[in-house]
Amino acid sequence: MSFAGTATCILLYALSSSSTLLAQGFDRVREGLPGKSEDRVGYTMTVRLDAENKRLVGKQEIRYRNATQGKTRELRFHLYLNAFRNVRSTLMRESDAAFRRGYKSQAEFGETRFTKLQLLVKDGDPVDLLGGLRYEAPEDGNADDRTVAVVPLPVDFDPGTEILLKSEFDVDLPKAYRRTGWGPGNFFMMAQWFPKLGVLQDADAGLSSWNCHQFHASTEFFADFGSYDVRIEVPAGFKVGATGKQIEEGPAGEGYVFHHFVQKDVHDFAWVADPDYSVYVEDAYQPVLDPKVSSILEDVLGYRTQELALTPVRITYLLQPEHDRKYVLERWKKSVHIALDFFGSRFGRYPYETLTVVDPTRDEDGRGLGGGMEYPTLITCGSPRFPHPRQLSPEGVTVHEFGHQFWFALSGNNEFESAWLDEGFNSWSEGRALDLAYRSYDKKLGVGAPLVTRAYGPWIFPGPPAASLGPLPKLDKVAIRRLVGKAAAYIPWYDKLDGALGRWNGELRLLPKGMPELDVLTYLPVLGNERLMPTSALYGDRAGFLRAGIKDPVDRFAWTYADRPSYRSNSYSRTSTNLATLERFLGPKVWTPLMRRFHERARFAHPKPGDFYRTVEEMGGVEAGRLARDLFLTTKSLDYSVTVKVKPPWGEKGLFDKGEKKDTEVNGATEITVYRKGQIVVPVTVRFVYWKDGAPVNEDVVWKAAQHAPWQRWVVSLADQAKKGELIQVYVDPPRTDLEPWFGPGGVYLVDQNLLNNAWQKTPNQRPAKRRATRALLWTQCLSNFFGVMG
Amino acid sequence: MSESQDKPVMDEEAQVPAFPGLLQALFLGPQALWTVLRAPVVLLFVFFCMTLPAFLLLSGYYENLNSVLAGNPLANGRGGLFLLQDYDRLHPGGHELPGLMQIVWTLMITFFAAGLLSTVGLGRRPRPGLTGFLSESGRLFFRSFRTLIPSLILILIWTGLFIVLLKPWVMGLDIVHASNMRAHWVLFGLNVLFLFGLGKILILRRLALARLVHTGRKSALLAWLWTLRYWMRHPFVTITAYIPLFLLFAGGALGAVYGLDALLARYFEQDSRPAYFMLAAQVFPLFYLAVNLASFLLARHLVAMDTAIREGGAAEPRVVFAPEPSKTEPATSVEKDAVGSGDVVSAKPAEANPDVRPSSSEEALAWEWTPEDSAKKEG
Repeated sequence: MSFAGTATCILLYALSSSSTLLAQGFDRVREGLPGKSEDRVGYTMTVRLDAENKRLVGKQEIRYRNATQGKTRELRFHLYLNAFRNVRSTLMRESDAAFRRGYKSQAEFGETRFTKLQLLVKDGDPVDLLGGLRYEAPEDGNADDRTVAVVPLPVDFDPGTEILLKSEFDVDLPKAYRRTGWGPGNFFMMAQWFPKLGVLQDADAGLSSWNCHQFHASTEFFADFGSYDVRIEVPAGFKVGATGKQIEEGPAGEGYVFHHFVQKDVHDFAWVADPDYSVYVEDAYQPVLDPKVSSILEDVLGYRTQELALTPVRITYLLQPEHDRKYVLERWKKSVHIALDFFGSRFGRYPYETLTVVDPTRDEDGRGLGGGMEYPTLITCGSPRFPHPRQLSPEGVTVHEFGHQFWFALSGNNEFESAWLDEGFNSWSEGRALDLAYRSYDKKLGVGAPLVTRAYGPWIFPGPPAASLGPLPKLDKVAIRRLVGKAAAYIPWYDKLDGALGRWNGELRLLPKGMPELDVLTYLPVLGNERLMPTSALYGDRAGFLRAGIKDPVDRFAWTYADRPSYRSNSYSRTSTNLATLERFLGPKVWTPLMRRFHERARFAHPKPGDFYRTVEEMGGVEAGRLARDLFLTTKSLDYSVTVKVKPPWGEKGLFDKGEKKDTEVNGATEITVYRKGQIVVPVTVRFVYWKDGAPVNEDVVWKAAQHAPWQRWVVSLADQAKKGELIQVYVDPPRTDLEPWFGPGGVYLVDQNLLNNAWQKTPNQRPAKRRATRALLWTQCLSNFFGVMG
Repeated sequence: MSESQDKPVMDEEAQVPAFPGLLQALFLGPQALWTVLRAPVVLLFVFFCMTLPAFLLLSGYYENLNSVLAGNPLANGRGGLFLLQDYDRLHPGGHELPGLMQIVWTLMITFFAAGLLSTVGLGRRPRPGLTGFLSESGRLFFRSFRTLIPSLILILIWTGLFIVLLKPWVMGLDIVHASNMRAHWVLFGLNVLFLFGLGKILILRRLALARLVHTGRKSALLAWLWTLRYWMRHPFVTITAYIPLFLLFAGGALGAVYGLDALLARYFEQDSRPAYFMLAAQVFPLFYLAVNLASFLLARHLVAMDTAIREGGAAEPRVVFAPEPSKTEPATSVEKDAVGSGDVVSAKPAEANPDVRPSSSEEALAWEWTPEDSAKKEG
């Protein structure tokens, strides 16, 4: 390779001057939304789909600008599809064995290959770069992993300059077990399908380094914002949906047609093709502002109503034939509208003109291929074969994946290093959107809170969330042992049998695995166990987080969590619960503007965890900032409890008591002790409820964070009670009815590890336990009836 | 109940009826269900017996739960769900009780089904009391259990074959994936086939048990072999006969879900009284149980018809039992001698036995004695 004249191959461009409309990293003082991204990269691509052989052949021209302060002598590409090259890639090794075994033949694997890679030279011949290409595995050194390709450059790539690359590549598409590739019946989901540059970032000593991680089992993606101009050629008859706006379509020869899409200010490009799609288009849906939210934003941030205005969006729905029904389409539409309204109202307008909603196909077992996944302006939202009117599916996944347009597509955080910044934020947002939107029952669609509770045995309980009586009644071992008696402990195989039955019945999957088409039957009484219905995502997220336990801090690289449950909990449910705690801690008038401001600054700016903590500190105060750091950066837990002792009143006990004046401070007094069992120290409210004149009277005391003692005791004497009324209840962190319309039921600290010990009442109430035990009985009866058919 | 009532007698005058056609078969399931419902004492007793273990075991669960929730005012509030989540998390394990209950229920159904076939199913007149029902259930339990084992083995084999071989093979064929819809419906069809296979095994098991009870023989293997031959002879009529029961099973279920949960939802609201709901909701498992028991009676009827045709006997059960002796009318010595023989015994000619029903194909379909019949005979 000749180096003569290569200096000229680097096309020098002056960096655009800083503008308030241009996002250049997280700007800690910016107010308002940025108009556009930094546009560091541009991809112009032509790709042809060989549907018969399940191959792609593509050409690309890449423009890339070094916007860092340092130089580099290499390029790094993500070749994500090489993760599916064999079962030895890092993604495969990190996946469970069952996933690897799912690949049934060589034809189900896939691979991306460069066939040409050149650096374009101004007024000269292109320089071949392919010869120097090598694969690296920076995280685990896995020689079989080819998801990161390193290409040396002949000269320094200096700051402020731009290069042009030209490449050709071909792709053997894998089966879409992980959301990309082909599926049965000519379905093609094309995500991470092209060679894609990593992100050049500032490093030390005047050098820049590429942020280009391997494709891990538990990581997603990270890329620069830029412009995409893609011409897709597919066999005639295929329907195509893609990132961005279609500007042209027509014949491409040899029985092919082309679709030409363009989009600016995005960091990825995905497309989907399938001849079986039914296509529905909403030309211009106008999102609606939430007046309550707007009012807060106007009051606190000083926005004018027109500054908050949302812009219309063209929405395309690609439905599989089995979902091509008005009822299903309407449900999809409603959920997309809800999402556009919710996210637009709170975090700023959706800036793109289009949104494509894709219903992925199913695999041989009927499972949705592609499930739910987010790409800029294109989301996939799998749905059950027969969407149940009382289950929020496809609503949940649709709102979630749309939410990623804000928490990922627009923010562009590094999903390898801080997945929780989009997954967790989006889980919290999705839960909030669903809770608000489906509180009222939609008679037309038969969907809504009064009926969306949870199925349980034969019953899908209607009513508001309060009527839900909890998750599956795991029948207590203690209860069994109590009934079986001590004898059980002496039966040598008892534990073994116990475990075996537990495993067998653990999932309560009454139909063999791999038959999701029959999942609809689980809604029938005889088969139905308990289906968790998203009455409130809050419940689900809190339960998920606490079930997984705290093994890692939230803020961690995605592939370095202790295990997959820890990754999932920290990235999704724990972050969501932490955010729900923070929003309750700060209240809607602080939290709503805070999150708005954070998103404004994060938009097109690749935010990092520290940016969030600083925003919380700046707008929520030092105490909130400290709580945020405790919640996200440590493994500390929070648990408050209350115990109450009522001292028996003194009677005429003995010789020396007789005739003495009783000490009313101790005699019959009630002793309340609040314990701090976790490591997180926060101010907590202790509520004493007295019964006076036929009504409860609350008295709140705040046990402040400054009081670092592990416990605090209050004594309520009989004299006090004579004055204030009879003490009937005590709460630590009591329910916040003032926050309920905004955030749902509960106290402030949803992260509290055990709410069973957070309250006390003088008069026991057996009804809650009876309600649940009744359900358990009915469920057991119905389940047994099912098996009774075998008898 | 004296032993004499177990004594089988042969109906020698029976005429050979015709096996029901498809249309007639459609009515057999509802008739069977009606027969079960017309034996309310037996039905309620079985229901009570089958509910009692679950009730007792769940009372322990209730105790534990109550000890945690009763003193906590949050449990009854809108945030009560959080508490239940914490209860579940902090009291791990415990999925075993439903599992144990399923085994207990399977065995109990096995126990009661045989007794049902031998008493209600045989149309004895007057119908034996609970003691007789229990006695017959106990006497025939091991036979019933022996017919259960092959069905469980067949279910395992069929499930294994389906999941490991059949489904992957079919779904691996390229032709299946020519379009999404074709793949979808092929998959759906396969799953229906799987359920059909399961259903067929369950029907065969019922026929085998009915055959054992009908003939009074003991060999479950022979009964299964006979059942397989039977299936070859009458597959369509048998399937048709079971379809209404299946539809009742599924339809009743749906009706219960959408009807009862709308009506009774308020009992699950805050501070409601769950006892009312629980009592009302018992209609549902009771109905399921009745349909399940009816499926056994239906099998017995089909067996009786086929046996009569094949063996030239009566359309009615070839073996019937002598009447339950009244308190003033002890069993005859002849009947006592026949007890325990285990096989078909002709102890008394039919004309001498007023309890043997008239035999004709029409009457075979109406296989329940009415009180008027009894009164007429006795009169």
